[in-house]
Order: sequence, then C-alpha cells, then structure tokens
Amino acid sequence: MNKVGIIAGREYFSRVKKPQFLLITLGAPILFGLFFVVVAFIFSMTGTEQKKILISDPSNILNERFEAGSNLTAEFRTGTRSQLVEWKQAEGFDGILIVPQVDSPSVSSVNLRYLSDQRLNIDMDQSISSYFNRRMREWKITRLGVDEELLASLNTRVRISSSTDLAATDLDDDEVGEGSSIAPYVAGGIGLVIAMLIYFMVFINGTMIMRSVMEEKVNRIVEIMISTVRPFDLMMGKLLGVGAVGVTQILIWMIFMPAIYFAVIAIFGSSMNMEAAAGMGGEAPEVDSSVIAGIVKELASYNWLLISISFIFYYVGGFFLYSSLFGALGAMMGDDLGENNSLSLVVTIPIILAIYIGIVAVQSPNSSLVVWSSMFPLFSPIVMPCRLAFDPPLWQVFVSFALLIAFTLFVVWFAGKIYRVGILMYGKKADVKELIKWLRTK
Amino acid sequence: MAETALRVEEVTKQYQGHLAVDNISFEVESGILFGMLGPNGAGKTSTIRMITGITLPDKGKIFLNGKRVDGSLTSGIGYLPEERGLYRKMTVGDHLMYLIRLRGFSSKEGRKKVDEWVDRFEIGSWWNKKIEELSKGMQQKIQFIAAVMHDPDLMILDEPFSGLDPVNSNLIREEIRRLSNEGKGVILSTHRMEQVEELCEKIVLINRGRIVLHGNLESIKESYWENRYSVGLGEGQGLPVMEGVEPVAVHKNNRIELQLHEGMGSRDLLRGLLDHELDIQLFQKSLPSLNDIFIKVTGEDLVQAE
Repeated sequence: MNKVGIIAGREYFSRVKKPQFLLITLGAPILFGLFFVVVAFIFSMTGTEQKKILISDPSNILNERFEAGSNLTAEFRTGTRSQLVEWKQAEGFDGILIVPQVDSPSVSSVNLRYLSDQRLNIDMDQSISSYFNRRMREWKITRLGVDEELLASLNTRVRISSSTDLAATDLDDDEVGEGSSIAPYVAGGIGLVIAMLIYFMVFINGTMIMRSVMEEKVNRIVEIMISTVRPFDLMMGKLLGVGAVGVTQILIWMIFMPAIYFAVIAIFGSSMNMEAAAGMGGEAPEVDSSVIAGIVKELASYNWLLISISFIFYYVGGFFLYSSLFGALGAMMGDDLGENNSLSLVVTIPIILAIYIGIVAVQSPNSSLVVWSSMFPLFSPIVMPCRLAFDPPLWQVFVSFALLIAFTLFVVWFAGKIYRVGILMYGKKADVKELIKWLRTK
Repeated sequence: MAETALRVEEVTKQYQGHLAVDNISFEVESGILFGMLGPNGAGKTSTIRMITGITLPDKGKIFLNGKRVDGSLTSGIGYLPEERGLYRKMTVGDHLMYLIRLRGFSSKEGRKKVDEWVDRFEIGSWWNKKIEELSKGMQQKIQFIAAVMHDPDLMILDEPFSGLDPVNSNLIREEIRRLSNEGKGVILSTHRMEQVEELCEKIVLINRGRIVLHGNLESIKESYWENRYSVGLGEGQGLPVMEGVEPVAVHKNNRIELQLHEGMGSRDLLRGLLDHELDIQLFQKSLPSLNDIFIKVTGEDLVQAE
C-alpha cells in the first residue's frame, strides 16, 4: 500500500509542481471565457455594417416605411430600372430592392429583386423577407377589411408546465406555470455542465495516464519498476496520483472561477454578459429580470445534495473506469503512433458516444435510450448527470450507482491484468494464451 | 561453501512458436561473479526477465534465495536493463530517491544510501540535473547506482559497460568486483566475451536458447585446451623447424603460438627450444579464448557475427 502512495505522490507532484500546471489550470477557464467573449464579439460585429438601399415600391405596400433592421436605411423612389441603377451609382446606395406591382391581396407569393454589387447576405435576406412578410400581411388585412383584433384572438399561446410533484394541487397557479416553463432549460443546463466537466476531466486525465504508461513501457523504466513493485500497485498509484491532479484542478477552479467571473463583470460591465448570452443563444431571448428571477428560483428548487453527491460519485467512478482502460491501452501500445491512435479509439468512442447521448438526454430525459444508457456503466457517468436535474426515479439512480461500482471494480481488476501482460511485451502483441496465463496468476 | 543466490531449474520459455529459452538450468552463488554469455538473441534477456519475475517460465522453476519466483512477489533483485530504464524528465536526485523509497527505505535511510553512491561516483554536482540532459555514459552510471544502491542479494547487470568510456568502464568494473567480494550474487550478462573472461569466475554460455557451456571458466578453458603453448623469443630470433611442433600464429613482441602434435608435451617443446639455443622470454600454456571455444562448440563465430 505504501508503494502505491509513493507512486501516486510522484505522479501527482511531478505534474502539480510543473510551472505549466497552474498556468494551464488557471488559463483554461480564462481562455474558455475569452473564447465566449470573442464569439459574442464576432456575433455582434455582423450587424454593425450599415447599409443604405433604394426601394422601388410601385404598389406602395410598404407605405414608404422600412424598418427591417437598425443597420438598414432605405429611400423610396419610383422610376425605371435603369433610372434606379443610375441613382444607385450616383448617390452611393448599397443596393436596390424592387418590389413588384401587386394588384390583388390574394397573391400567395411575391418575388422581390435585389440588385447590388455584392450578394445579399443571409442576415439581410432573412430580415428583409420577414419584415416584408409582416408588412404584406398588414397590407392584405387593410385591403381585405379584416378586423385585426378578431384575427389576434385566433392565436393561442401554449405552454407546458412540467412537474414531477404529483401531489401538488395548485395546478392552475399561474406563477408556478411561469417558473416551470424554463425548468427544462435550467435542468438541462445543469446536467450538461456537469456532464461536460466529467467528460473533459475523464478524457484529459485518461489520456494523460495512457501516455505516461506508454512512455514507461517504451523507455523500459517499467522493467526496473516491476522488479520492485507489483504492476497493479504501479497502475493504482498512477490512477490515484493523476486522479488527485484532477481533483486539485476542480478545487482551484471552484476557488478562482467566482473571482474571475466577478473580475470579468467589473471590467466589462454586466452588459457584456447579456450580449454574450444573446449572441450565443441564436434566437435571442429577451433577457429580463423576471426570467433571471425564474432561473434563480428554479435553481433553488433542485435537490443539490443529490446532484453534488452524484457529481463526485460519477466523476470518481467514470475516472477510475476509463482511466484504468486507458492505462491498459497504454500498456498495449508500442512506439507505433498510428497503431496507438487506432487502439485508443476503442476507449474514446464510448466516451464520445456518451456525451452525445447526454445531449439527447437533456432534450428527452426519459426516452428508453437515455434511461438504459444512464444505467449502462460505460455511459452512465456522463448520461446520468444529464438526467439528474429532471428528477429521474430514484431506483434508476441507485441501479446506475450499483452497476457503475461493480463494473468499475471489474474493469480495474481486468485492466490490471492486461496492464501486467501488455506493459512487458515488446515488439509482439499480447497473445491470448499469455493473457489467460496472467489472468490466472494471483 | 558459497550460498546459492539463484537456482534456475529446467526453465523453458516460448514466444509465439519461437523457443526463446530451451530447458535451461544453472546456479549462481553469492560472492562468485557469474557471467551469462551469448550472442544477441540467444535468450539471455528472456532468461533475465523470468528471473526478475517480469515474465513467467512456461516450464521449470526459478528459486531466489530458496524462494520460488512465481510472479506474485516482487523480487527485490537489483536489475540493470540493457536499455536506459530512467525517467527522462526527473532530476538525478529525485530519480534515485524515488526508486530507493519504492524499495522500502524511508526518506532518511534512503538518502544515506543514495549519498554513499553519489559520493563514490563523485556526481554530487549532477543532483539537480535532469536525466535527459546527461550523456549516455552518465545515464549508465545513474542506472548502475539505481540497480545496486539498495544492497540487493542478487544483481543482474545486462551489458553494464555499454556507452561508457574507459575511465568509467574501469570505475564500474571495480564496483562490480567489490560487490561480488562483499558476498553479493552478481550476474554479468553480455555478448562481449572478453569482459566475461576478465571478470567472471563462473559462466553459462547460451546460444539459441540452449546452454552450450556451463561451469568454472578456468576449468572450461582447461577442458578445451588443445596442447597449445605460447612462446616468446628474443628479438630477431626465428622459430626453427621442429618435429611435431606447428606454429599457429605470431603475435607482437615475437610471441608465437605453437600447436603440439599428439604425444608431445611441454617438456619436449622446451627441450627442443633449448637445443636450438633460443632466448626464451616467455613460455606458457595457451588456453583457448571463450570465442575459440564457442566456435568449436557451435560452429558459429561470435566475433565474426558482430
């Protein structure tokens, strides 16, 4: 046991003592944050290009009013096509929008023409066509003499309030409905963040172990090690040492993340966050205080104890499960890089599959694929955290726990055996006979 | 009576249809420098791996200080592998301390042991250098220390002189002798015959997985002696034609190798030489070199094969 500690200590300190360690640990979230800021910035950049266009609207559908976007200004003129082109060139318009003559409100399609030196970009295409669609509708309503209020009453807003609390009686409570409509998003967000964290930690630390095992094998230090320590102890030492590095990183993040967050807010102002959220979201939700209040309320309603315990449990379980597999893989590797890469696919594919299932789990946490995956040990460390915020049945969580523990123990044992054989094989693949012989030894 | 440090009993090891070690048996006694010889690929390293418990024999048993090696225990052997078995990114000091602590020494005791060797090899100034910054010869010295610093009862040194300059070669050679004289079991494994001839008292010679020769080096040489003598004559003197005496080779300083025909002995040769009134400066029995014996036994030439 003592030897495991010495090995774990070396693995741990040789990594943590490196000057790069703190740099990478602290730098990663900063880079990550910077990435989002840059993305938000890029998104906000696209809209700032000011365009001035000339519109020919003979039927006066737009009524000399054009508000398709803050970066688009328009001027209405009537003339022949060649006149319009002349004006465009002379007065420096960016383009000409020609609305065709429309006589009857019963037309089902209208073809606008846009003449310019540059092709219409997607952004402008969408804003102009959706704006025109709206104005066309207004125009038709007036022409047809339809009552606008009557029309509006045809629309019904539908919202689903989801709750697992079957005993709740206040189903008609409007406030509950309001809060819960964002629940799936908040729950999904929590799930994905945790799953992503586990995914990255398991992946990065796993490959780290794989590389370190492979290096020991290739430079043959392992021959000295094996005459001193048991292979299983060597592997365990590595797992514990590198696992501790991961935990250290999480702790550092937990301490520094809020600090960085506040620093960013202080420097850029909170508006940056809004912009970032709007930019990332695609269809920008109107972020108002009631939504934030809703999220906060939603967050408070979760079983955080269960979520935290599960997070630690699934991290540890997933880490040991995958790292021991990565370790065994490292032991089977030689110095042939191509072969190593294809070998490592054996373990990386399940992890990548798991994260995809995790994304599906956030969308439909109770589909049978997701339910079974959240109990299947190779996927559960990533898929179950995605489901946790959706209050899955407790028995499923416990089955998932139990299966993960049992399977991890088995995999660590099995990987230890493969490791034992693989790490001492040079130039030749571990053959089945040899493997069986080692599986039999104590 | 020397203690048996290692006993190898009828050990066989097969790798995917290739018989690497074929029914090998030998013993290594404490305090007697033991040479394991053979060309590259003869099965030396395969044998060593089984002794250190890295692999298991397919058949046969290995006993270390009377205890069977079965893969469940770490052997505690001092092993110097042929390749550099070092953590390249570690400093010399960290590396040695790490290994000695893994061998069950406390930091304090371990440091004492390590310091002893660091002082003996005068490498104190290298303590904080990374292994990868060292020359090959330096690395070999560190590896040697790593193999012997914890006072193992049996040390296996696989090509310990590779990459060393003559000065460091001598240093290591003296240390090997000293360790052996202190009563440790030492196996020197090499394909270099002259190193074994110079250092070892007992040998096992392996070729193609089988033992070709085994036993006391001197008695092996005696048993393969073919009635040859080496004679040194005064400057400018030539060897006259003599009945039953055939010159085989002439070396520097006018030293001549002579093959005597059957029935002739040293007295006949000496008498003949004196009869010709030659100035005899050297007269000795010429024992065959290990390489000569190897060629004779296997029909293969180890030196030529290099």
